Amino acid sequence: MLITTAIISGLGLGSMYGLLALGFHVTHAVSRTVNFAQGSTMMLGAVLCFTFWVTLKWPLPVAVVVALAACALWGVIVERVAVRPFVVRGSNSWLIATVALGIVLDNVVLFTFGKDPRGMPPGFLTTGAVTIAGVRVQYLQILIPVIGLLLAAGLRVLFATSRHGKALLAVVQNKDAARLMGIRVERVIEIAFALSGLLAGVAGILVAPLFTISSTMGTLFGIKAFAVAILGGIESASGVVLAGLIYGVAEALITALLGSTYTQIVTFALVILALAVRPNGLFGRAQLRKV
Amino acid sequence: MSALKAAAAAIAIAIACFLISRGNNYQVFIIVTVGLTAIVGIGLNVLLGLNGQISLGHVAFYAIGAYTVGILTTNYEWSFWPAFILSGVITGLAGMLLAIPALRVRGPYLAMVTIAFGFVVEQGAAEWEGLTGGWNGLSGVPGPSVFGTDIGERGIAFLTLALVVVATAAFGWLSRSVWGNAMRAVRDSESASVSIGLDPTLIRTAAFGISAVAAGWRCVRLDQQFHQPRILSVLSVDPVPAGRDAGRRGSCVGSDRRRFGRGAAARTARDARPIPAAVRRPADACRVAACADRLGRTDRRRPAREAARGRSERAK
Repeated sequence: MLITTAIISGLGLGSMYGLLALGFHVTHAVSRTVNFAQGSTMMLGAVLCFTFWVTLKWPLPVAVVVALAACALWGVIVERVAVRPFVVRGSNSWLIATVALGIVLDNVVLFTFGKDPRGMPPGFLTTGAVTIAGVRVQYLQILIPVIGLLLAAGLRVLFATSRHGKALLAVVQNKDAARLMGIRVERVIEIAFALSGLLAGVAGILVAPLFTISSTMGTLFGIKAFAVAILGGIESASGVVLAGLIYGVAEALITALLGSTYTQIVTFALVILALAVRPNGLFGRAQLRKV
Repeated sequence: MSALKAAAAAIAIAIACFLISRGNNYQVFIIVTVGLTAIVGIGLNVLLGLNGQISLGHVAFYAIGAYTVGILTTNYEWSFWPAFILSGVITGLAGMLLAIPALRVRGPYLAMVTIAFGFVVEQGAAEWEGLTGGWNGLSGVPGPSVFGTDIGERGIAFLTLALVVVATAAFGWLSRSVWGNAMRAVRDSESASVSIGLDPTLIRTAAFGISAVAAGWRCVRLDQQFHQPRILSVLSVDPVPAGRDAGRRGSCVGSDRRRFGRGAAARTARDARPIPAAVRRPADACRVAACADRLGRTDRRRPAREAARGRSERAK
């Protein structure tokens, strides 16, 4: 009973970690850089959706679409402001720059949205429920992993078939060759960051009804998602999603069995242990750097 | 060090001394903060600058140092100085302990291991209430004292200044020493440095240890505000990760950025001084000796000899 609940909620959260981690994967694949403040982007999605829908009383679909567009735009801004200026000069400082930009965003939201955490108003998805194996499960808890996995699968199809997707894969394989073939590599990297922002926004909007919405909701979530991306071996898309599910379930089980006090100690210690045993992530392949 | 740099350093130290003795409390507070951040930055520079390894969990070492001093002085009534020295030993050991998993991973994977380490230490400090006081932190930690009198905030400022000078000098020495060159060599090309007989495991472990000790030194100023697990939040606006990028990597006082590329390994090898036994791996040492032997004597003539052998075999 306890364990069934834990597994169901773990799968839901895990697929959201997976979505955020996919965002890390996409940008890392094309540019070897990531937006370290993915958690802040996720928070932005949730906060904007809440503001448009609840405060400004826009219809929900419009609010969701506009919030997601804003998240994608934020991804592009992060790339332009905090990543590209450093990468073109061969510096690794984009790492700290993206963290800093995330902190700026967190504090802007803190000033405009306010300190008090708010909850999404109850709707059909959170009040309606079905009973699975004797456990009451909200529709949303089923919807979250379904949307997460559909998005991951959809991305795969998109990459394989669409023109932009193929361009992205080309840049992943060989940046110089892609440039010679007339692909605008900078544009592709921008698209990757937009996509990563979009995925973070989706995750933010989906988990918002489960938690409260505040300027700090994304920080820990983002770090966990990075752990998931690394555990999955950041090179492999399906590995990242799978690692998300494993992490989510493991976290929920630890909370259910040992209590929430030790959740973070145990999960992060497990992350260190897993990386000590498999230095390239659970599903990554070893890479040799030649002289 | 050139005369100009020495003069600049002397002037900077004199200005700091003047400000510490004449400035108001707030100015002294700021000087101590700057000094402690500089010490941690210098420590990180050993790790990131010389050895090319990212650590985002460095505050954890500060926490370990601070809690060692805090617990020993309050619960066990040690005086500050022995506790300070022991905390250096313990943070150094903790750094080497983290090096065990950290040595196996690179780049973003290493960043994740250090973040996770920071989290484990933060949460551990928060939950182990019997030892650390939990979220309330420790209170009533005595400051350092000399001959029974508390040296106060100004005394701590002078102590910090002295530690900055020592750390800077030590970094300069380390950076120019064989060990410094060996660290750069491992950073720039691991396989090339292994081939000349350097032991990357040992060198990286040493870099982690040194860097951790420097971060632990920050514990000279302990007060309520700085003694709660909260301060450890890994990605909070802590001076530590920011300090890491403030200076140019690999240089301490903004001097030239020494990047030798693969040449660093070659440079170490060419160095007139022999590679110290401590940095060397026994098995590799033999290999290096064998290589040098072959390079020196036989190899130059070998192609000709082999070609000759080939000819004679074909003739048969």
